[in-house]
Amino acid sequence: MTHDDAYQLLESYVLGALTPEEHRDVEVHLATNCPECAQRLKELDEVCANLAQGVPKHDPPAHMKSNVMSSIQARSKSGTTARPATRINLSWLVTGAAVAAAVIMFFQYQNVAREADDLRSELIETQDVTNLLSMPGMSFADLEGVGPNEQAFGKVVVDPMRGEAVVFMYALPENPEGMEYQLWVMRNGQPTSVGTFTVNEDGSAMLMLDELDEEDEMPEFLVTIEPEGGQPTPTGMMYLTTPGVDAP
Amino acid sequence: MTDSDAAADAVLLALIRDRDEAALGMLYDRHGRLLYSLIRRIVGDVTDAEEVTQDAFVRIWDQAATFDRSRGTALGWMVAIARRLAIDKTRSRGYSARSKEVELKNGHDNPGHNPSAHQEDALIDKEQRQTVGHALSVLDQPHRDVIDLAYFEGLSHSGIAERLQIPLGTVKTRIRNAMSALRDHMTGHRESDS
Repeated sequence: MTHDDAYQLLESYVLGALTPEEHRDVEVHLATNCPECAQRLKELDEVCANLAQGVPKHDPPAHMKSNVMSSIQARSKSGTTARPATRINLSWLVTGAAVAAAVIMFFQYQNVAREADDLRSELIETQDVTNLLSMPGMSFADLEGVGPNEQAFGKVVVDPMRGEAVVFMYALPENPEGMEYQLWVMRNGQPTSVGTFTVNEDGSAMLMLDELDEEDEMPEFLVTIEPEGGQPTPTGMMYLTTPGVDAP
Repeated sequence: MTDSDAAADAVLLALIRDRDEAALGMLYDRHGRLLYSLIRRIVGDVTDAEEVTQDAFVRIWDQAATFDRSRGTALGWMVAIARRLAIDKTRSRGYSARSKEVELKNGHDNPGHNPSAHQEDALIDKEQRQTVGHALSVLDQPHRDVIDLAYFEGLSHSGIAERLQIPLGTVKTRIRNAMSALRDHMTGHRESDS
């Protein structure tokens, strides 16, 4: 099947209206990573999603979510899932609204009106984050609040192959005047600064790191409060750590 | 759907791929109503819609690793799964007979069934004859018909040609033109919103 043939059939392909042979031929062409067809396919995928949005809405029965979750848990227990459970522990995601998606709230929070340049750079950043998160081989770990700051929590996503990470943090207190939070990564048992930051109005923050040791699948992190500009070693109160890190 | 929504869905699918049940729960909260409504529109039966919706989320759980962002959004991927399962359901053996049975029972005393569910069932036929609401309103009737039959009934080119008694080539042309018009309309909306 030529490119033109495949391109002409993409609308019917996304609708599932092709014969099995035509469908297979289009798939073969798409597997060549044709950029024009890939772009068109994305647009048509959006049309299909939009058609679903136009359907009259009905609330699913209240018990359906628990049925869905029970099905998933049953599959996990019977070992029928494709991948084993990982270290991931997102209990914080269901602790309520917090959520809520921690990650989601972060993105939504950012959608307050701002200058076009800010929006553009944020979109690029968002793209970077989702690119990182959607790649296979990611490692995930929780950040836990410490002592009087136990309400704080966070999530670290590391790409060990590229030495990159995204750190999401939530429910941190507003930084005091003249102070900043500082993120540390443990190297050879010693905390090394990877940056300072302030939090948004809702206590959230996100940092993207790109200079981690490539062999380190999941380094240990901690967050302290320090004088503005940061310190060479931690001096202030610890707010967040990955489990197992002792106060320096 | 905004870029932020799409990004959030992609994040959740990445977490689901790593077997995160809470992430699936969140995805259900975000899109369960939409997928259930779509499935109900296709299968035309409340009980079957529940079963298929549940199957769809299990499929999302099982196949999250196959989601490919280069081909579209997470929502588009989930909608495709829901559509496919719902259409398969309508093709399954005995489905038509059972649907008719449900239809006959509507409005009658039937202690084994939920009366409110039956009232909802009665509304479905009416809904099915309606357009897909705003999304399809930009198309004229001949183009709406081909999209309706392909999208909600899962008919192939030849099935649509047979149903509408029109040539196969006309079906292909109408599908292509209709999808392009819908895409242009959506793009126009986005641009006018920005």
